[in-house]
Order: sequence, then C-alpha cells, then structure tokens
Amino acid sequence: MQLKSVTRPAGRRRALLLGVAVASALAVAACGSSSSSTTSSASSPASSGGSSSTAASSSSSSHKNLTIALVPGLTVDPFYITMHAGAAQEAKALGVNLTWQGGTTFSPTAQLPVVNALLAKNPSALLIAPTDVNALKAPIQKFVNASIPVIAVDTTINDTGLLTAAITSDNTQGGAAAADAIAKLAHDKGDVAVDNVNPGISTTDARAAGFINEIKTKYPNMHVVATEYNNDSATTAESQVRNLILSHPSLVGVFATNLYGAQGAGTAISAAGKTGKVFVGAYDAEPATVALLKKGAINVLVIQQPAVEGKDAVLYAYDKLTGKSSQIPKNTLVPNVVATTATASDPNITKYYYVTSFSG
Amino acid sequence: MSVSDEPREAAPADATQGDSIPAFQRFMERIGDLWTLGVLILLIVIFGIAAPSLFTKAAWLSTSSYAVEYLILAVGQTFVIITAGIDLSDGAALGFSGMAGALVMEHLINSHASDTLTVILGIATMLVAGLLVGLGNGLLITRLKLPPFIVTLGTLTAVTGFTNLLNHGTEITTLPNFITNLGTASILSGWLPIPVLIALAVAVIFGFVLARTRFGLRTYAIGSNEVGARRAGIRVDRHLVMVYAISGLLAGLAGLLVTANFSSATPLAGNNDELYAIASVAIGGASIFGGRGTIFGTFIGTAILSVLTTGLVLTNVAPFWQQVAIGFVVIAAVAIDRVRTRAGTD
Repeated sequence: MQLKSVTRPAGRRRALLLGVAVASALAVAACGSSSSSTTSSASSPASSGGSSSTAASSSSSSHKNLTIALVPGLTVDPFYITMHAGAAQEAKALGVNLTWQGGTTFSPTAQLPVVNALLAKNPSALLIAPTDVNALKAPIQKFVNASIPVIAVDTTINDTGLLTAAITSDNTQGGAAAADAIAKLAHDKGDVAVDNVNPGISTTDARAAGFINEIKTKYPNMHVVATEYNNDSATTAESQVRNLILSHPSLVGVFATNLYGAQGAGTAISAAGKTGKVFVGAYDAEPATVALLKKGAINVLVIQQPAVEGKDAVLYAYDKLTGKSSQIPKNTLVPNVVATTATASDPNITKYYYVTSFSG
Repeated sequence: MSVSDEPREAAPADATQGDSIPAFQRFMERIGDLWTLGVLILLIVIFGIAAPSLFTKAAWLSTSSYAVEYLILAVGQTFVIITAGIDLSDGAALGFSGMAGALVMEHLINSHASDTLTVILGIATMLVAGLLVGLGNGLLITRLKLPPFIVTLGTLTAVTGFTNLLNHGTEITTLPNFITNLGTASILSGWLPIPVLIALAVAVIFGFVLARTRFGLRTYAIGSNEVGARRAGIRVDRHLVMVYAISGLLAGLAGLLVTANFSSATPLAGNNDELYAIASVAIGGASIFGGRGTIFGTFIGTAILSVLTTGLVLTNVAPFWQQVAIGFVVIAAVAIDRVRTRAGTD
C-alpha cells in the first residue's frame, strides 16, 4: 500500500514535553542496562530535528540491531495482517527488525501470555493493539518499568500515561461517517440500530458512540432504538436484526461495528425482504465485507488504514529509540475512507482493501 | 409407579409433618417430560402478550433459522451426554468443516471444475471433516482412556487452530451458487426454510435411532452403567467412537448450513456453540451423569433458548439483561429437573 503518512496533529506542547521527559528518563535508565547499543546511537542524530521522512533514507547500519515487537489484537485477521504489511515495509526502510506475535483470538486471555513472554526477550520497543482497555495495563507497566517504550496501535488502554504514543483509526469519525451515509440513503428519517460485538473494546465502542452521537445531534427525525451485542456470532447478529426489523417497523438502518454483525445484518435484511428499505453500514474492507458490499447486502463500508497505523507505529518507535522523541505526537488519528456499493469497484477505493496474507 | 403410590396411601398412618415437598415431587413426576414443553408454552405466551409480533411469519422464520445450528449440534450432543460424556469440540468442528469444505470449493471453482463436482466434493469434505474430528475424539477417549471433558477441550483448541491454518484465519466467500441458494431456499410458500427442514429431519431421524433402535438402547445402557454394559456383551468402546463420530458428523452438517446461510465460511463460525448445545440438552432433561435424555427434550430445550433470544429482543430488553435472563433460565430448568428426578428415583 503506497499510502502517505498522516499529517501529525500540531500544537501538542504538553505531550511533547512529556515525551522529552520520558525520553530522558529512558536514556538514564538505559545507561544502567546491558543494552548499551541503543543509547550510544541515540544521542547523535537527536539534534538534527529534520522531518521524519529523512529517517527512511538514513537507514544506517547502526540501528540494525533494534528489534521492534508488534503484537496485534489477533494474528489471523486481515486488518492486522494489513497492519503487519505496513509496519514491515517501514521497518525494512528504516533498517530495523520487526517481530510479529499474537494470539489467534481477540481476547486478553490469548494476548497476555504472548506479551508476558515477549518481556523476557527484551525487545527495543513494543507496538501493541491491546485487547482490553484495563487488562493489558499491568503487563504494559512491566515494559515501561524495563525502559521499553510502548506504543498502542489501533486499540488502546485506559491508562494512556504509560504509552509513548497511541495511534488509532478515528473510530468515532468512522461511526459518524456511517451515520451520515445511512442518513443520506434513508433521506434523514427513521429508526436506526447498532449491532455491536462485545462491550469493553475501545474501537468498536467508539464506532458505536460516534454513530449514535451523530444521529442524535444531526438528524432530529432519526432515532437510535437499540444496541445489541452479537458476541462475534453472525448467527446471533442475524437473529437480532431480524427481530429488530420486526419490533421497529420504521427501522431504516443498522450499523454493524464488525464483520459478523455485517454478515448477520445483511443476511437478515435480504431474508426479511427489506433490501433497499433497511440500509446496513459496516466496518473494515475484509474479503467478506467487500463481497457483501459489492452485491448490495450491505450499503456502506467504513474502511480503516491499518497499513498506515503500522507504518506510523514503527516510525514513532524508531524516532523514540534514536532520540527523536520530540517528533512523536502523543495521539495520532488516522482518517477513514467510506465506500458504498456504487463505488465498491473503483480503483481509488479498492486500493484501501485489506490484504489477507503477508509473509515478511 | 406402584412403588411411589404406596407411600401416599400409607401417609395418613404416618400423619406427622405436612408432606408438601413429596407432594410437589409427585406432581413433578406426573408431569414427566412434558414440563419442559410447558415452560416453552409459558414463554411463548408471556412474550406473545408483551410483543404480539412474536406471532408473525417473520418472528417464526427468525426463531427457527436461529435454532438450526444449535438443534443439529444439540442432537449429537444428546447422544454423547447420554453416554455420560461431553463434546466441547462440536462448535469448533462446525467452524473447521465449514472452512475445509469452502476451501475445497474455492479451489475447484478457481480451477474451473464443474458445478456438480464442486458442490458434491465440497459437501463431502464438510461432512468428512466433521466426522474425522468426532472419530478423533472417540478414539482418544476409548483407546487412551482419557476423560471426554479433557479430550474434547483439547480438540476444541486444536481444531480451532487448524481452522485458522486453513486460510490464514480469514473467511472464504468464493462459493458455488448451489450453496448460497441452499441458505435462502424454502418450501410451503416461504414458511419452511430448507435449513430448518434439514434440522427437523435430523431431529426426527436421530430421535428414532435413540428411542427405537438397538443402537439407542445401547447408548442408554452405557450411560447408565458402563461396566454392566460391558458385561452384557456390548462393545462399549466401538459404540462410544460411533457416538462421538455422530456428534462430529452433525457438526459438519451444521457447518454446511451456516456456510450456506451467510454465503461465506468464517473461522469464527460455531465459536461458543457447544455451550448452547449443552444447555439445550440440559434443559431438555438429560442427565450429565448419563443414562437419561431424549431428542424430544433436546428439541424443546433448543426451542426455549431460541424463543428467549427472539422474545428478549422483541420486547426491547437491554442486552446485558438478556444474557442474565438466558443464564437463569438454564439454571432454573436444570434445577426443576433435578427435583423431578429425585422424585422419580427415591
């Protein structure tokens, strides 16, 4: 993916100062540790202060022994595979090693052992998509205690003070964009519902909140009548949406926050003969959602840019490790792309579709 | 029956404390297996009053379609539980067989094989994949003498891993039209979707096998008293392998129907389904200690869970309370059943 990096938000003085403080603390701490190679190279380019793009060209061999660990929410999801591809591309350009390890399900139970095992390997930096806003706090604290900078990608934790930086797709904006697109299709009136995954996942909760808030504030003739949780089961989502259609005759839209909600909602609406009357907004350009979009089972698709998230995370980790902390924004919001059934085959849209395999 | 009648006639002679509990137990015993049906009817009446839209074609289709995969899995689970075993891997087997068959079909479509061949090989792959998981469970349990709980807990995880390995953990959407049509086809002017018909046929056929054949009788015998069954000349190990194979085969069939319904195979399909299947069997009156249970009970158990799922959404119950309600219904159903069983055995 040849996507351009996001413009970094300006005017983050406080975050900047904090970053510098953390960096100096790190430098002091690292001097005491055995991995002196990191600190020796850290001091020299710090004063340059050039734009981050120069970092790519100066892939000096002195950073070859930097190892950045990327822990996805789960290893088998196209979203994270695309993130891995973006991160690996950037790591190659900067001349650092990138490792990729995680659980096969999106849960703290699957992720915690991986994270704890990684600590023993002492990577230079940790990039992680936390699977729970609270459960990952303790292990991340251990990395911070060991002077290993931690950057959250996509999902985050509640205690953001532990993080060097947090990069996420703007999930609130994505939810709002889905609301706008559905409202347009439904001519700004009618009932809408949300089919969410499980509570406590920062990204999907933000999508739902963004959607609900946008409907409430911008569309006085539209009402959010229900929020259901499908527990990652398309069968459950289908049942929920079928029943919502039944209990709310003026339902015009369903916002599904992930693939399984989209599959269930799409199937429910065609089974109920409501195609063209109830519109489905969904998230993520995985092969299955793209197929649903193309055949019109879902009508709106919010596409994130995981490759950009992965790329930025590696770059920030590199900046941090090479003493350029001042260039790292504390929070980065990567914008989304909105596709509809009409634009589903447009090359300007298809280039954002996620990849399903990457080895590198 | 005559045994339980005797004390009642003798009761005036004892004439000590108020025998309210024995009376309740006798009442429960009289009702027999029909009490679960009563609970189902009660639920339908309550939800029907609160939300009259429950009595519409759309609600029926929603409820019955939802029940398909759980009923098919629960039928296999009933056989397993009657032998005093458990199959925690049937949801995983569902996901595995769906992905395996879809992968075969995707390859055949990409290599321009005929539609008929693609469909036949795809469906066969799903059924065989499920069957293999079941056979694996059965052989591990009987040959290595391992507890079913541990074996199927292990295969649950391992099979889920294999499922993710099949296509890097991503879904497959390239499927022949026959499969996608199977998910949407119906008869009786739309009142009976084909997947629902298949699930009902499975329940009837296996209900007959369990209640009216030597195979069914041996299933009960093994669950009641495994040593006794062995001494009576039943080849217990071979029978158990067949029971787990049936559970796996039915998971493969459920995998086919779920794949057809969503026009795609996803690795997460069937995730946690085993819990619903086990709950359905338990509500249906089967004993997890073996020897007792019917397909009719399991059918009612699945229906109760499905009606709850539909009814709680129709009546706009908040999602977290839905979970609480479903959990309590499972416990209440099994608790009532225990009182009934005690009445029967004492």
